[in-house]
Amino acid sequence: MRVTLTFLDIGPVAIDVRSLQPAEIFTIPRSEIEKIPITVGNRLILLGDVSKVECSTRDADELLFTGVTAFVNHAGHGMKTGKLIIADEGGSFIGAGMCAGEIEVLGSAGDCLGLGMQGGLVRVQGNAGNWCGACQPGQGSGMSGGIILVGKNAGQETGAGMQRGLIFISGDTGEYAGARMQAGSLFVIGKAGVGTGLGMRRGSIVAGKIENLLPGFTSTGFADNEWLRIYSKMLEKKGIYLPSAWMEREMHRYNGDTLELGKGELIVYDFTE
Amino acid sequence: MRFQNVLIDDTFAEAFPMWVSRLIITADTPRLALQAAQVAAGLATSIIGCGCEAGLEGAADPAETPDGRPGHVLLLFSYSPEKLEDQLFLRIGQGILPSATSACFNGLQAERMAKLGGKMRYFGDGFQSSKLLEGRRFWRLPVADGEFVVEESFGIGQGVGGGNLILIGGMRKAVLEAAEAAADAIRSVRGAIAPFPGGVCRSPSKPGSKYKNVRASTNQVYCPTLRSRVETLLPPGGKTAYELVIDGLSEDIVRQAMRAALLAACQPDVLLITAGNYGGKLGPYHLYLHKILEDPGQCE
Repeated sequence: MRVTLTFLDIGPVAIDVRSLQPAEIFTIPRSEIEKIPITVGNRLILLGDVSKVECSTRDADELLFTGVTAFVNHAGHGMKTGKLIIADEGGSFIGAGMCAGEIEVLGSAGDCLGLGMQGGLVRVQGNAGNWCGACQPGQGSGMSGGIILVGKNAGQETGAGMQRGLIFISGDTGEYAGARMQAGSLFVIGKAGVGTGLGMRRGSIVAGKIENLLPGFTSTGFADNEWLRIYSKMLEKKGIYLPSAWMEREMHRYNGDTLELGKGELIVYDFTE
Repeated sequence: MRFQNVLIDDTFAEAFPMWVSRLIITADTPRLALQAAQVAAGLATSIIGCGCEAGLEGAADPAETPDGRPGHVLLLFSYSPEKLEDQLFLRIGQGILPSATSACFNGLQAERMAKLGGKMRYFGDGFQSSKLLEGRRFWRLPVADGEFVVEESFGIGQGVGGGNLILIGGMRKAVLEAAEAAADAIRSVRGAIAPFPGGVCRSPSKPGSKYKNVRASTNQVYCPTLRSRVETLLPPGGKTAYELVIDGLSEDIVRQAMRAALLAACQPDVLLITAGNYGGKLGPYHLYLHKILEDPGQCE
């Protein structure tokens, strides 16, 4: 069953939809869906008051958000199964804490995409905001599993505090990508911003270019990266392709951040000061 | 019955369950991958003395391998999962790990998984790291040409061992040619191996011996030099016998391989094709030669 929620234009007010779980929504009738309480601003209201609910039994199980979705936050929060599609720009905290299932954002996503995510797949066709796959403010550990694929650029502190999982950014990232990273893999096909890998303990950051490498990283020269091929193959199955040049030429490898444990690796195709 | 003028004995090969693992070995070039796979499959002809039976299933196309490099698929069979795990650890550690540019992946999803890469990681002496991707963990061990990537868990599943054919004929050269053609035919069946050198065994054995503590000994009934001294199974004119032993991922695969081998082995100068069994007491799989020849539907 496909459930379509067309969000009405109620102005720039944050709508918190964390109470909507795709797996649960397919089991209840339309009238019940409309009565699900959600938070708008600081008020608790019914879903039917801010969106039009349509159900179609002919389609596969998926929850579709359409209409004015840019202020719809916490979509797929803690999601455990099912598929959620956001047909336009998404709000903040999409897929935060999700465990499994799939979220697809056809536009761009706001800040905190996949924050503290534990599993599942989030795919964004446009840009992602700041703290993509990072940790909750005040927490030490970020994303601990799953895959985030971003079609364009991501903001600052992408993958900050990341523990496990994969973040793939097809464009550039802002400052401090992979800061305090504990494990996992962060791919930036374009340019990673200033301070990339600051305080990283373990894990891998693979970037096309990097701005101002931190002094805590030491060069280990050029090296072939067998494991990158495994990632390349897996990403191909999802329709994502690593630049062929990455596979053809050995890349610069740095270890760091030596201010911390220093077991992290920064693999850069083309270093730019 | 006769097939292409070769007498096919009305008997069956007696096969039995074995534990099996399937390794995908990759490297920068097909030659390097083959080298690593051959070393890992070395001296694994017979379970009697080698601890396992192993052989190359065939080449793996880069599209099939987890890292997109050329590879070879290796099958290993043993009597118990513990024994097989020991052999896998030994052969990956001593055969594949030292081979230039190699990597080793699991090629069999089974209920029972052995954490071999998980044990092997200690070779990294604290410098090892891992990547967890879609539920599969890959260990990266630093080595002198980069990194050795080995999957953490390898499947140990149920296979079938002991499929066999015995080719008996006149001139040794001609019978050997037929046996080699049959071995090539076995290699064309995915999921099957013929573990003996070149797929051909010149020493069919019998269990036990007149000597104490000898587990297996020469099967005198097939030895041409003893035909005047023992009750021989060699037909008149029979001067050479070669055995083909076949292990496979399933009974059906062993059956397919036996059929392919039978068809290829029926050549001039081969007088008789028979099979070894223990009267049905050893294994539950009875692969009758006539049925295999008559009923291709079972095999295709």
